[in-house]
Amino acid sequence: MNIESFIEKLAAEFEEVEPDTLKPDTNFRDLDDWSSMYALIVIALIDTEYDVRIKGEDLSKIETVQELYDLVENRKN
Amino acid sequence: MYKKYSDEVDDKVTSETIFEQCGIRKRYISEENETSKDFANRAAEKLFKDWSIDRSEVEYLIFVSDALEYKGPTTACIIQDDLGLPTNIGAIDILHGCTGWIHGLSLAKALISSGQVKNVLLLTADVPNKVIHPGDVELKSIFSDGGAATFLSNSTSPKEQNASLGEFTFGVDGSGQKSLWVERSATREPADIEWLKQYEHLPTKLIGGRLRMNSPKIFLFALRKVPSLIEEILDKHGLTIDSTDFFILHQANGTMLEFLRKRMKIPKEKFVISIENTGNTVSSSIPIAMKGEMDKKVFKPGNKVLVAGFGIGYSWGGTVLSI
Repeated sequence: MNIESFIEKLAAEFEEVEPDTLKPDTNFRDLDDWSSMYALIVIALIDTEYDVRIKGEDLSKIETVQELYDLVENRKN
Repeated sequence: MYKKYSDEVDDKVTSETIFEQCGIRKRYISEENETSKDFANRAAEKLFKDWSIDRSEVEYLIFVSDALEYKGPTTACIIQDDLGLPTNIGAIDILHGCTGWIHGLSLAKALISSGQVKNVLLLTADVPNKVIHPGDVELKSIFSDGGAATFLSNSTSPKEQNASLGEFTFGVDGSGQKSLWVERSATREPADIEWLKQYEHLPTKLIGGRLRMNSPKIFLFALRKVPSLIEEILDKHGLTIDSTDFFILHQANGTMLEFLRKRMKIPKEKFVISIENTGNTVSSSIPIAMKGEMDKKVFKPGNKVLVAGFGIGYSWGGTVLSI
């Protein structure tokens, strides 16, 4: 697992996001598509791709793609 | 702009945001005096007429709905009389929400292939809006009232497109009973006066109970379960995503379906999302989506169409139809 592949997978779920505009410091809440539904999709994506369970409250404490990646990596180890 | 029951306007929820989040533009709401049985009857009448089916030949009637007329008698018995079907038929109700059509098909197949009857009329209908509180925007945004009729027989129709049923895959997990359920709707904790009083100002008064959804739970259930369900159905038929021509899943929510499609890497042109102008019609969503594709004449002889339902229960199941 590395941040590049993580970003690629994340970007694939957001229709409006071009792969190269999503960066580690992007605040995912600022994305056009972001909604409570997308929060669930991100949770499910992480669940199915990385076998890591995160909760809505975990998401509410973080803002950037990097923080999300770190969260997944910490839980995985 | 979404208008709340109290006439307050919530400008955060508009028809556009609902479309963006759920892929739904149009939903149907039953009249006050209409029940799911009425939808089923209309679908059956249309089927008899459009497919030139002689109602006197129906040998078994299955009614799939979570909104029955009474706790007794069986609603399918009442439908027999409404439709003027013969009295020497079998008639049962199946309560199985979004997997209901799959369960109905499997039972019809069992009845026909075991030689007990020659044909089965399978009616599906639900009226979720009767148990939705007008303030529950998440529920109001997706659920739609509707019905469908499916005819299963040991012979083919010369006039219409025919399909044969494959093997069935089933699953249930009752630990999800409170992720999607109709509170105060029957014998366990029935509605009492105190409970009903809080809703007497509402048009439906919620006298049949109140639909409750833990959306993260039901959503994650579907996102986790459906890919393995599809895999199991394909394995049972020796098929792969490549060798399957169409995938018609329960039309729960457009965004959820699109997520599942991407997860399973199913090409867009094989994956039917027809929720935009119907909404989530519970037990009828798969046959309604299927009919839409039939009308567009997309199915060719030899096509394999995977159908799968999932939802309330939890329950899930599916099969493959061979055109």
